[in-house]
Amino acid sequence: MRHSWYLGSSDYPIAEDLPDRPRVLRGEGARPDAFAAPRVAIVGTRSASPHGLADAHETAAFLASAGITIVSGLAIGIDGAAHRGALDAGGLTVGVVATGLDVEYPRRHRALYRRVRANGLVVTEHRDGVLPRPERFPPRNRIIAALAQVVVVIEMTITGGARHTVDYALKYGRDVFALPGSRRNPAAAGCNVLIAEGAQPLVDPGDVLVALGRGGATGWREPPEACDPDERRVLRAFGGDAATVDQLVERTKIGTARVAAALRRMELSGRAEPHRGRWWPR
Amino acid sequence: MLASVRSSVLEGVDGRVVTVEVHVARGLPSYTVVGLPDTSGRESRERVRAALLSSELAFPQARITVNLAPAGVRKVGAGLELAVAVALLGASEQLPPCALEDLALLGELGLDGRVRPVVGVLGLVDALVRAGHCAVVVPEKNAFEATLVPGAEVRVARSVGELHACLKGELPWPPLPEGPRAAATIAADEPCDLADVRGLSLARDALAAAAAGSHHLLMIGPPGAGKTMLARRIETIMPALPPAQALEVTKIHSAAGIAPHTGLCTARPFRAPHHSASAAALIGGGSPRPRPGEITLAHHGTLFLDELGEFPPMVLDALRQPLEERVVRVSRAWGTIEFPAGFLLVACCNPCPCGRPDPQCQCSDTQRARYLRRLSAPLLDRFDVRLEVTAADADAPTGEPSSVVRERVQAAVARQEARLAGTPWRRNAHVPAGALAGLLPLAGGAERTWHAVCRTRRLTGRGAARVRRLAWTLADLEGAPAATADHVELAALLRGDVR
Repeated sequence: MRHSWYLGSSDYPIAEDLPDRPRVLRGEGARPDAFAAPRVAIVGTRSASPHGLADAHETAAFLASAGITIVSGLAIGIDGAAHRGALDAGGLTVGVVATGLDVEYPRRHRALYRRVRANGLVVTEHRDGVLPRPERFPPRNRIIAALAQVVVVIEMTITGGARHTVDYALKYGRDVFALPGSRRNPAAAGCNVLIAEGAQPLVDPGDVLVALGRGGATGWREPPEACDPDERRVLRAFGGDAATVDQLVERTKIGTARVAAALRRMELSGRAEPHRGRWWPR
Repeated sequence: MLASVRSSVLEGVDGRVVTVEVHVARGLPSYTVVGLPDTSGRESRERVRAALLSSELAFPQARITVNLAPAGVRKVGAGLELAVAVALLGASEQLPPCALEDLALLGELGLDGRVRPVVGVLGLVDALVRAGHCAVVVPEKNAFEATLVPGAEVRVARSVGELHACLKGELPWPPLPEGPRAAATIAADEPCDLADVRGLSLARDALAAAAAGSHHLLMIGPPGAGKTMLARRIETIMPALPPAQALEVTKIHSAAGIAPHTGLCTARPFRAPHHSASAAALIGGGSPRPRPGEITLAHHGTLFLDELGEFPPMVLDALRQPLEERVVRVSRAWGTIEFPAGFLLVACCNPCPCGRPDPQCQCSDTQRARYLRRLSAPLLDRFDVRLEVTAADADAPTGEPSSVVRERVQAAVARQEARLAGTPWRRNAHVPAGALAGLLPLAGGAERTWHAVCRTRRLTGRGAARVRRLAWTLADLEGAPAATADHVELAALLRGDVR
């Protein structure tokens, strides 16, 4: 179902008088009421680590269960994980895109587009037929910043496009949260810089609700307790960071076969996954 | 007058016996070759004539017809010239008919009457001996190689003049040249040993399993992770080449013209073609005589493809059928030739187009996925071991030296051969899915683990069979009597996922 919101009409979703609001917002989706709820943008890098993707998913799910609409850009990486988190929690989500509504970019997210249209909105300032071009993405990020009351950055490289979103958010006076990361993780370097510049570190997802003037749930989800002693040993050997099988074998000293067995069981229960030659704990 | 002798021509890497008939009749002097010769066969007239005249023998001024039977087979190469010259001597009554009885000859002629070597002597002599022509005259330079054929009675020809005298009984046969003092081996460019490699203990296990059970191995990782270094060292842990297989390898290399003329290949071949290789160079082909490709030259050895992602996808997909069947059939309009291709495929591949190690690599997941998509799923499926390798720390300990690993591999090969005795297969990786339950059984706990592993990794039937074969090889390497749950878990980890 198509919708249009015109600047000046009563249902136009950006209430404040921001200087560069789009004259018209076009949307497609089953839930135009997504704009009625408080809105939080979750943005970040396209080349996210498995930890970043999991954190984006969990933050989005946490906020969506509290009745918040999650706004993001339908891109690969953090954006996609945020939309999925909201959808998996049964919440509402808005995808702001830099193309016409009849274009689906990136193509890999075709299924995600369908899900977002069914449980939220896909929104753009462009007419049908407008194709993705590099110069159309920064202006798109200003709409994400304008639509949201709070912007949460999960993983961001120093030069990443999410920086545009943050700059617009600061210009519009939005609260910015950034998830701190290890200095060894290049995908988190931008977040650490944001925190140094004064962004709030995202220590607890409940802090976002507080910033919105609401209370409620707090705390990250506790990972399921590993009952198997080998799994506990392997989990300890990770030390919270990714590790190769060789490193795990050396640290646990229980032999390759037992590490392999523990990793397989952890993969099955979603507590670890292989990515780019290393294993990542959840 | 009519005279005939035997010779043979190459078809693939094997020989095919050819009867060379020469008829000399009165009439206008002429020289005609019939029976599908190639250009060098037709040109033989000039070489035969000059060689006979230089050797002070007569080239008859008569109507000469040379027939190469069977007439329907194309004969490629100049290796029949010596046979033509001797048959001509017989037909022109310069040799007694009894001298040509049951005689087989191989060799190319020089204008001065000298006999030049031919390629593929091992296959050519082998075909003649199998057909019952045990006495074979070969060029001096091919003589040692010809003596490797069991049952061959090798005689040496140095020149047409001398051969003429020997056949008439006026001269004794020249002595066989001495064999090489030491067995020829394929020398490595640099002395290399597994002890040079730091860390990467899982990849070492994978390498040993590949060498022992003939499991195709793919290593994916950034440059500098040590995957090429490791892969090149598989040569140092490959099991010894049994004599029968050594003969096969030598025959192939001889037919390709790259065998050491001095002897038997005693080391397993290691072939590392560059990624600009064409499909024909890799699987065999060419005109007029299809030559063995790299996969055939790697028979009983290793084919190492570095930078697998840079090979044209079409070339890689041509490997699929030979990987499965261990032979390759090269079909042309005139017929089909079968080359042996029982090789171990070891491949390395960067995970992304930029090829920088992880923190510097800016390739998106899309780019990585696109890069790895060049490797088709059916090809990836044929690798039993698929391992992602990351660089080890600089201070990681070095592992076992090659000699120790090689002993384990050799023992594992012996165990497999004992278990698979009486079957057509020699290694775990060769056992077809239908025979797995009988030959590579999994008991209680191991079988439960195997089913669990297949569910976790969502393995296809083929993938599950590969895990099972690999588990048995790991058990063989350890000297365990049967594959246990631990072996199955490790095999599943080594089988890995490529996404």
